[in-house]
Amino acid sequence: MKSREMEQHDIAEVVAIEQAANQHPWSMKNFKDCLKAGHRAWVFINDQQELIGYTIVQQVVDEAHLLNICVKPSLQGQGIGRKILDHVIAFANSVSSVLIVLEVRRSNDRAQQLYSQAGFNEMSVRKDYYPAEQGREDAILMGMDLSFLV
Amino acid sequence: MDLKSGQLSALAEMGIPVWELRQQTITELVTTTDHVISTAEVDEQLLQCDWLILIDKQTYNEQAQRLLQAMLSIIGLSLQTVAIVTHEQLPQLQHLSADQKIILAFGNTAAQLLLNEKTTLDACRGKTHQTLNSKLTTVVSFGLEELLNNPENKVLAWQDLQLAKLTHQQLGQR
Repeated sequence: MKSREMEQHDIAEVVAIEQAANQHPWSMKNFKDCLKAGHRAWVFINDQQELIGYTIVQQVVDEAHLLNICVKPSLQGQGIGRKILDHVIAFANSVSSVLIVLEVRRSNDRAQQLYSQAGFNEMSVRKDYYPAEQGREDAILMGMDLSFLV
Repeated sequence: MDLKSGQLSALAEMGIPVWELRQQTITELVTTTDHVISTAEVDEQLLQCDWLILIDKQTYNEQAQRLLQAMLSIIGLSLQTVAIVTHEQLPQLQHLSADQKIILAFGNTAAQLLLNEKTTLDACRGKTHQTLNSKLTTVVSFGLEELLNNPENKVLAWQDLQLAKLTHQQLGQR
């Protein structure tokens, strides 16, 4: 699997994966705005030159905020998400970030397990943060302290 | 704790990552000499770098350096591509011809030295200033130590960095 910076021409394909993988997907404008704002974004390509995942990170001084991470649904469960997450952690280290933070839906056990296994810890809960099928859903705020680890 | 090779291979087989303590060494301040010098003596790095970073040497420790590295990376810079200037070295900047140079000044003292001894961060953040006989464009932000002690200001510091980046781009277009 290779990675490269996400470019404008990737967005249509990224949105297709986003919509297939999420009940409440980001819009095309969300992705465009992220690139316009200068957030760091990568796409991941397999040996068949297929775009299989992506991630977007915002640097806020010495914190890296993981805004989006996604793997094509048909390829989930093969460790690709962990590789993308490892890429984010390596990037955060490379730019001297001391903390990576992210938010995840309370119902998304699979993602929380991925983050926990990678070394993230639960930091707090944001009540009713996300829209849900019925009402609202809590966000779990998770973080990884990079201040004394490589 | 040092692990033996057998322990390491057992952990590897179980898929458990082994963390190592970061070996951090603070980079020696790359600054100019500490006295007022003539134009001919102005440090080469000051002449070459577009970005001058004004910091308080007294509080520039390992943690502050890491924070500075992170902040610089946000605007595409590194410690190697800027000239770090301490308060004591400000007089050297009087000699610079600096059409495209920008000073990023961190902290209240830096702001007072450059702008006005009575100014405050609140008063001078969020806009650009012409300093040192109007030769240098300056953007002011929080001191590194202050930011470490008050992380809630990181968002504001991020805005300052964006302003500095935009300002530098505009200087380059003149």
